[in-house]
Amino acid sequence: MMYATIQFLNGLSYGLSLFLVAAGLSIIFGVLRVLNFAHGTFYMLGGYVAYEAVSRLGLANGGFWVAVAVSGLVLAALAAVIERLMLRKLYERDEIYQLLFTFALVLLISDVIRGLWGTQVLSISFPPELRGAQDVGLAFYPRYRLFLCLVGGAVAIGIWFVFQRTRWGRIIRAATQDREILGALGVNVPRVYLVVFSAGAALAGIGGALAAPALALKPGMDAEIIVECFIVVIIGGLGSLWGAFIGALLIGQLRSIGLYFVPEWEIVLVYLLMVAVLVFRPWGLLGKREGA
Amino acid sequence: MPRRHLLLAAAVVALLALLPLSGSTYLLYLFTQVLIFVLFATSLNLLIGYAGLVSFGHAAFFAIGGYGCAILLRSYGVPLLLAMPAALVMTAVFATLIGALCVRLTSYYFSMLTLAFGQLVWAVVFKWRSMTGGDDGFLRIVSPSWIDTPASFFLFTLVLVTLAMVALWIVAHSPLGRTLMAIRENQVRAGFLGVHTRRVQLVAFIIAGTFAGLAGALFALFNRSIFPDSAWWLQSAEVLIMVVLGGMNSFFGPAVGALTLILLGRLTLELTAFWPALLAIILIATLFFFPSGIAGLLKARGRR
Amino acid sequence: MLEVRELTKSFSGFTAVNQASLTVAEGDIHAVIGPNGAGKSTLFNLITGHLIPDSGEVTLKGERLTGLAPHAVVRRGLGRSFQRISVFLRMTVWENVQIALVAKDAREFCFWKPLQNEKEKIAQLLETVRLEEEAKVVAGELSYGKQKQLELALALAGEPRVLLLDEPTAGMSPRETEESILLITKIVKERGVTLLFTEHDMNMVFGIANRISVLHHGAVIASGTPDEVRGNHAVQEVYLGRPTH
Repeated sequence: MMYATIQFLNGLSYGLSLFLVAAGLSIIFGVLRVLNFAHGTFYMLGGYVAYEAVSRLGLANGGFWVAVAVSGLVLAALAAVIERLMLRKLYERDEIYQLLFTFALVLLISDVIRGLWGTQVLSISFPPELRGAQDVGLAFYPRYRLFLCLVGGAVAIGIWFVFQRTRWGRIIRAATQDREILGALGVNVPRVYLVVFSAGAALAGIGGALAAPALALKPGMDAEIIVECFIVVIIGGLGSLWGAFIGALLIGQLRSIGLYFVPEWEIVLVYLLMVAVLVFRPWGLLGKREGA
Repeated sequence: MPRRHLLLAAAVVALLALLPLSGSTYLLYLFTQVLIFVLFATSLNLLIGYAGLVSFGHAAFFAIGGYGCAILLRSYGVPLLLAMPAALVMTAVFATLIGALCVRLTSYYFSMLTLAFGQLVWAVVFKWRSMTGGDDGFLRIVSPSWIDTPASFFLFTLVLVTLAMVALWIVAHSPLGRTLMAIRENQVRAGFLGVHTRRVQLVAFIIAGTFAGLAGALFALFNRSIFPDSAWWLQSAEVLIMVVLGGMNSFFGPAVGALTLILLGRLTLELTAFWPALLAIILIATLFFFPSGIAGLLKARGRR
Repeated sequence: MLEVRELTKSFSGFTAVNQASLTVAEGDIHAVIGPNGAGKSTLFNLITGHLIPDSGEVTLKGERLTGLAPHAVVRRGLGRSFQRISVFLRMTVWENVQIALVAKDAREFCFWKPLQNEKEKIAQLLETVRLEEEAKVVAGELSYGKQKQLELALALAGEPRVLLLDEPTAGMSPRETEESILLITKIVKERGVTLLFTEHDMNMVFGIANRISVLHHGAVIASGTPDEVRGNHAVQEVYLGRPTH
């Protein structure tokens, strides 16, 4: 029972942090119709920026939280510059160009990261406020991972709230339906794109920063996370946030189970689930029929 | 397809056939590598340029062909003339399985899935140490004596790549090739003319993958070794950039891109620590300033 | 020839097509008319396989078409042009028709030999739709009217037994409409196709159709010869009695 609880919570914390990143990818695609390959690299950069901030500020006095905020800001600023100066020029062109551009960003940013921080595995210690384990009744569970669960859940609720209850949310939802009409209604569409892209990137960066103490920062982590994000989106259905949520949670649990039964090959379980979805429900669990 | 391009290509092949007379091992090695990547890039262009499907995992088939041939050759002692075709069959089978899943939906799904499956192939190659050597690579691949020297291996590669390019040229200019372009233009309409759009794309995927496998097999033989990075997405990125840089709208564009990128790689040997960043800059520059690639630039110059 | 029996299709509670039935005999020129929103395009999409009906049947010469995918429907002898022009914009007129012929002969999988240039067939089709001069022009650069002609060529290339035209004169000036009518009648005579089309232009409808079906709120409220339909009270009410929405 204790193992099961730990397994479940592991899966939950992983799944919710995965959702953090996949949500940004999904929203960016929904609004800008751009499949942001660099999203995993934004996540990675967020982690490394947080590492840098922590090495300079230390973990005491809330240094970690400052680092997380810095990650978010850096990513938002970077994404804003990218969108404004480069991505924007490609909207009118064939989708191939945007795909290739975001792919080029992956190469560029990950190489810059490698240049600045090297290829050794780095890590951040847990912030002092969240060290140690918490008694959750059935087991003792690392406080930090519990915190990740809470944050992930809070973000999911936050996104739901923004989308359903705020004006910005309504604009974004409208944008996913029909961008041309939106412009005709007086909405500053370029600004919407800029904000959505930056916000999505910031979310990924914060996700990376928060995940850093629990995982390790190493080259190739962007490829890992973007592939997982893609699998989340494929399982859940491209364009469906709820689908991304369910997909991320499923993958989290599957990984957790996999790590227990077939360590080293747990990722294969995730792929198998994806293949099953592709064979039986190709448009995803919650996706629209006949593609996005 | 203008006649003069074909004549030019034939002339290039004839010239290359004379290369062994130069006596320069460096040139022989260089052009063997170029030929292998010319094949690899042209096979990918069947998907990108003709079908409009951007595959980010084409290296998967490169690796499957390479490891397949290498393993059969060394671990099982199969003679090359059997090992190579067998490796191609293996690649074709995987291309069929993976392709059937990748072409099911929209082109966005295709791109995501090719990356995902590319990484899966890498993971399997990386972790299956007993079969592939894992991170240490698969080494000591020995070619049969008749292609053991730089000159004989070069000629062997030249013959195979030329034949393969002829085959790919025929495919690109076949009814299938034209149908691919129509599907890319307007998939719904093509479907409504009676075309089995998904199946046509799958056939193209299998063909592209198989020829990539051939390139991979040649690569493994050439280097006498093969490592998991042949399946890592960076390898897929490299060949992708060869296609875009050279020109995805022409048949020989990718070949030009392969030559250019390999030469560039050699020239910037000191900078190759930042090779991915350089590739990225090249790709971005191409996208923004000359999207039809080098071939496009040459065509424009030719028209003036 | 073409039998549509009680086709029904609903979208989230809204019934777009309601038990629609009509019969098209061989050689007919059958028009489907009705106010906007009556369900004409949906009906066509149901017949051609772009939508799957909730209930009902479509048969062509006794062969069942219901539930087949569009490409299978085409293979069975149905051709269609689209209301919103759907051609291969970046290819030339010649290449557009070439593709249609490749598809018709089921040669789309042939990858082992170069594409044959079927000069006569293509030239003939272009001549039928009056596009011989524009053979080398890129489709995207053609005028609207000529793109519609190309649409016709694509639909005809499949040598259909029944041709469905979705608002063939939509967006056309009176002169273009007249030319279109002449072209369509020429095609019908030369190729002996059976025609089923939707239209808003009443002159065209009563000018060339020998049978008319009237659609209203998704249901067929009248079907018969032009005179029968003109005299039908329900039809008069729909068109003249109340303001259409």
